[in-house]
Amino acid sequence: MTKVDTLVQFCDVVKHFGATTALDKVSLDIQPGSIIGLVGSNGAGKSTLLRHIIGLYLPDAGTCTTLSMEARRLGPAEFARIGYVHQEGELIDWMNVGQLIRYVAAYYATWNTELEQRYVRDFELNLKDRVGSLSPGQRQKLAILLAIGFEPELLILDEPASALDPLARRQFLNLMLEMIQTQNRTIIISSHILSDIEKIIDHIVIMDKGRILRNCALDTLQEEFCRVTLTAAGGKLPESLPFRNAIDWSRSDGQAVLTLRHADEVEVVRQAGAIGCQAQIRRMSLDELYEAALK
Amino acid sequence: MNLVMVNLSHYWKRPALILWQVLILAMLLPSIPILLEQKVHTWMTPLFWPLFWMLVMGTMTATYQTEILTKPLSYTLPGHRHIVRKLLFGFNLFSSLLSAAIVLLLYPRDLTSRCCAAVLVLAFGQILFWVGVWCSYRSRNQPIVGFAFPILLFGPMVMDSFSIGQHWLQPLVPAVIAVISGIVSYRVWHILGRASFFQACCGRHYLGFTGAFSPGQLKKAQREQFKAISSETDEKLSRLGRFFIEKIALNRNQPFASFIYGVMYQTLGPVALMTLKSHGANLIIMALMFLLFGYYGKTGNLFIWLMFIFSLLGTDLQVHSTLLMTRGRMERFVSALMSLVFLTVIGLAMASVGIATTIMLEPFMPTFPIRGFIAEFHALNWQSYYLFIIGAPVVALLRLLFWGKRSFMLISIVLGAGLMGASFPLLMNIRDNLISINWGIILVVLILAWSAFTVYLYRACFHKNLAIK
Repeated sequence: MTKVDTLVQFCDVVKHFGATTALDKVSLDIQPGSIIGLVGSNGAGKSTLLRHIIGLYLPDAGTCTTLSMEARRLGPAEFARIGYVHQEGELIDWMNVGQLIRYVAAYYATWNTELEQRYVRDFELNLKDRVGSLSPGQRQKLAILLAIGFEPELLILDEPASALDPLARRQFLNLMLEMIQTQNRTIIISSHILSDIEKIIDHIVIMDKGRILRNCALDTLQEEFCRVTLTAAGGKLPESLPFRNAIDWSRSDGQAVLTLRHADEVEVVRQAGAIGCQAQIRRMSLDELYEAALK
Repeated sequence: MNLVMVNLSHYWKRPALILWQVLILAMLLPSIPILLEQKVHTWMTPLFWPLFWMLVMGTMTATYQTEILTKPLSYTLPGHRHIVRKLLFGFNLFSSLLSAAIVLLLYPRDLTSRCCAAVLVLAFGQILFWVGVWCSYRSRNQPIVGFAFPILLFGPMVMDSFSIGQHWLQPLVPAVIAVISGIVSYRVWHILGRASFFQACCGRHYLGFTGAFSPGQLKKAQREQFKAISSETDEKLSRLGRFFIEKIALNRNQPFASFIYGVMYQTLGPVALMTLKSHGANLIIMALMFLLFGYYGKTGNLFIWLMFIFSLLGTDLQVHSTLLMTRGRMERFVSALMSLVFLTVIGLAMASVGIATTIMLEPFMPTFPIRGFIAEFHALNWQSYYLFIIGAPVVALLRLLFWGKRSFMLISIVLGAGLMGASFPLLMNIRDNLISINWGIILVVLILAWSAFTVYLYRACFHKNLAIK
């Protein structure tokens, strides 16, 4: 049964491509207003999951519901609320940039011309350039513009920044930050550049081999793991360290770096002091959290 | 595995290529009865077929080799460039010796004439092989299949005009051609050994044979073509765009109508763009084809529709587009169906214009003899138009069936081309009967073809994935 306030709901979705299981009993609820980062290695099933949301893929088993409707039955009214950037940025190559924008805009009653003009300028898109002759980065910018031009309620971004240069990535992040100001706008973004999405997401879904390993608030994950740098006061660390919740560590003679799970900071400092060490505790970046969560 | 084997392994690792090799080898078989019976068609000389086969061999062999050469990896492999040259010469030698041996063994003349004929085929065949290699190399972003069809259709007629008769079988003639062939081969050997040749190939986008069935490669090829389009052309196109965009915006609340306009725009736009770009060259080529079909007699009436049916292979009904817009599965279904109807009507209209042109030109077209056969121009007629109405959904169905399955598509096209080639004599014989086929049967076949397409389109739109993995 679909909850009233659930925007997207996966219920035991299974998807196979030949012998490969792309999604393995995936269950997921996405609430309106959340900014979700979908992360995982290549082939983890991120794009497959996103394509199920908009009904491009059909599940072999289980159900996928989007905007309170089975994804396969989504119609024009629902698609007018969904923006999607495909990771390969499928566009119409023979048109020029201006023609393509006008063509896509014609389908949407809510198209925001002001926003369009602003991002044409910010992204430095030349309206007379042939779409087919754009660089991968320019194509991606155009794809993003087409997906946000009508200010969708649900924005799905599949590797949107992979081809962007650092400057364009910053512009893209600013755009995302601006978009999330709008109440109840939901953004699902898959990316390999975790340092970028870390700044905008409030929720994280980690996938591996078609399964969801973690599905939680980013804060929860940040509270679950921490990185501790131990420095031996006497110049040499003891042979064994008393941290049973360490999931990863590296050490040299006088220093050790540990990744701890469910660690109490006060307890860590106390234990470090007991073995004659000084402990420095810091929050982990999303890159580090992702690695830790996979362990 | 050494480099030669790595290169050759392409020929047996890809099922469609194996089939293609078998078909090309089988193409040599018709030369046996032609040689034995001396003439099958009034306009075809006995030595024509082995020579034509050499041209096809050259084209196809070079296509695979050029595909390999464009891969940067092959450029960096030490010594690979010499292997390509040796392989091309090896294939040339093998095929010219094979065709010459058939002529030597089967040509029913005295020994001197047989030897002359064999040397002629060997030497002239080698030149034709290099012509095929050159055509293939120059084809760049043209799918080789699209390139091969006109050769298969018009090659026999054009080449036969220059083909070899009995009066050529004097010892001096083969000797002269052998010398020319030697010079050509020597030049080719040097050209194929140049570093600049390999540098020009490396990384170049080349559609080749298999690329013609790869959506990604086709798109890349199209992008290359679109890059060269001027902004003036664009301005003209904008008028077409404005018309459709206004219609789409006006019908925004009627999704079926807006998407049908959208598909029309997406279908007509590139055609208009390319036509404008080449300043009507495409239209001139099409007009020339109509005129040529006029000289084919009644068979031309068949070919005109086959040409339109094959042209549909390149159209995209937008069922699997990932550019989302406000299009659900139902809208994809209706707009794809409607756009095929639209394309069929457009095809019929274009053919009608061509047919009307041939009717107008008939009194003015010259009659001329080709090797004792009188080539007379006949105006084309509408009598076989049902072939297009039946063929359009069949081709569209094939595209849907083989969507994302490149090798299956390749095999089906190769089989189709093979069947078409094999049934050519049959088509020549039944051409008169075709127009007198019972209308009831035509109607049943027509309904079956459209029903099959509609049912499968429904299945593709509602029960299948709409994006490639």
